[in-house]
Amino acid sequence: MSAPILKVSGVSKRFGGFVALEGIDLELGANERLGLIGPNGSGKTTLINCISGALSNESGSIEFEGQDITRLPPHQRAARGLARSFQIPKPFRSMTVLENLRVPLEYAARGRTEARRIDADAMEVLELIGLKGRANDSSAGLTQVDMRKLELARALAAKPKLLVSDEAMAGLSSSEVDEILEILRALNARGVAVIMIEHIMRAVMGFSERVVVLDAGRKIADGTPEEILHNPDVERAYLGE
Amino acid sequence: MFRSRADVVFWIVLAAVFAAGIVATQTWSNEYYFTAIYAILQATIMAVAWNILGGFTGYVNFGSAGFFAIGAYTAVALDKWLGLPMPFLILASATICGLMGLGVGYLTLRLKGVYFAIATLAMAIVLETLIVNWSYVGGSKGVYILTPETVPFFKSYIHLLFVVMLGLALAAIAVSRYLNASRVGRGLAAIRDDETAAECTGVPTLRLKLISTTLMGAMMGIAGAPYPFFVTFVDPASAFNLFVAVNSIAMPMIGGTAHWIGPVIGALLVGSLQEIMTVTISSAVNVLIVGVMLVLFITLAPQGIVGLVQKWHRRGKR
Repeated sequence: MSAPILKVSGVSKRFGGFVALEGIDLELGANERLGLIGPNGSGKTTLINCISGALSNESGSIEFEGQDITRLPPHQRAARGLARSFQIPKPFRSMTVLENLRVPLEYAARGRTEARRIDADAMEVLELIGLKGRANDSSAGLTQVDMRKLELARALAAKPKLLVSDEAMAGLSSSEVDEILEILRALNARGVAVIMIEHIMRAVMGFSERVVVLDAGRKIADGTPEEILHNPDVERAYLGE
Repeated sequence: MFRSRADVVFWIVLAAVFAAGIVATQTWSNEYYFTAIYAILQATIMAVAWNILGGFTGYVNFGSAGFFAIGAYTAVALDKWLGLPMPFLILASATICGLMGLGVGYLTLRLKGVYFAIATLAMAIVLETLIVNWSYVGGSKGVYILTPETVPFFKSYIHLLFVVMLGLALAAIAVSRYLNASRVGRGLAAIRDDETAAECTGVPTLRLKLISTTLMGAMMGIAGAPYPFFVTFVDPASAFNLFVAVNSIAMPMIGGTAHWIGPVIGALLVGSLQEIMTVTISSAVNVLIVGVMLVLFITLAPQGIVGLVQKWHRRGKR
């Protein structure tokens, strides 16, 4: 593995008496494809909320490109190249699709974008995602699949080095899942590391080079998709004794 | 400043309105018109100011009257203490109310929705109590302001005040328009639409919200600074009037909050109607008008007049 782009060490998060995460360690190489799976309520979304800064972890540290970002607010993490998409799409509803992409280009990617290139860069992302034809449509009127594509497009417009995709495919049809997978592969081919949270096993196992499994806030397995499929602990977590 | 044809048209209209205002002061003799239009202009500045935080940023608040009144009382205090000329009073009110906006913003912006709105209402009440107990500016009895008998260039003091207010209103509109289309404006819209998503796309939400509250406060202060000289008697009950706060919320809501022109349309429409009703029927009908219009718009056209026009426009294209 090359020098890690992301290093999570001993991260714990409590909500009152409930322990959502306990001592999570995680390393991610630059340009690596990591799958993050686990039963519902196992702490996947809490972990990426801690990574993206939406929640602050009580203990442990998070390093991005060798620098400690544990106490940085989310917008500063985004500016360093850490982007995420949300499980439930959160488009900027008063804006068109194109304007939605202007926000990350003008903020998160500001230092890496020429001002006069903003619209061109946005169109390039829309082209990659397959939303080019809807650039000037209102984002509130998009279909569910287009809404999810916009969610990814907006994360990409931040020109990330690491993209965290939180269930980008939930509720999509099989062909739509393939479309999204195609986009994520294309992105990874450009050198972006990807953490994929997903319940669709076919997608996550096919996409990931490595898979991490969470259960009840603890990491119970870490290995290639092949190893994970044959791991007895994982089987127990999903199917019970 | 002139990046597009729309910019050129905008500045020409602004210059034309200002020129027309000056011409009017030299030709119209009836002072009533100037007092009436002054009130509408004051409402316009307040509507534009409220909309920066309430409309662009999506933080609905009831504190407008508080900022407005502090702007007015800053002018009263400095006029009495140092006898500063009007431009300095306006500048001082803008600064003090802007700083107050910054402070209040820092303390309350962690609150969301209804809680934020209630906190701003409480702030206005606290400020009113402070002024009531400050005898230097008249306390609860109020204070009289002497205005000069004669002024250079204009026939009377009210003409001068009218032109000052016209300039301030146009400046406020220009600032709001610029902000609406700017990078900061897009950041504010992102906060309004979804604050978490905004933060995760790199928008420094806290900083932008503070810019928003500061600007709102400063503009409210600017609207309030000439007020004591306009009415020549100020007391806490009239300066902190809740109706003033309701007006500055209702006008943008009726005009449309997402676009810079919304509060301007709302203020001109509602303000003019109120003035006409005051003269033809009674001043009590004022309150009724705002109430009825607000209810109608919130239920039938929540995006305001601008929203209605945009809807028709889209339908026409299809």
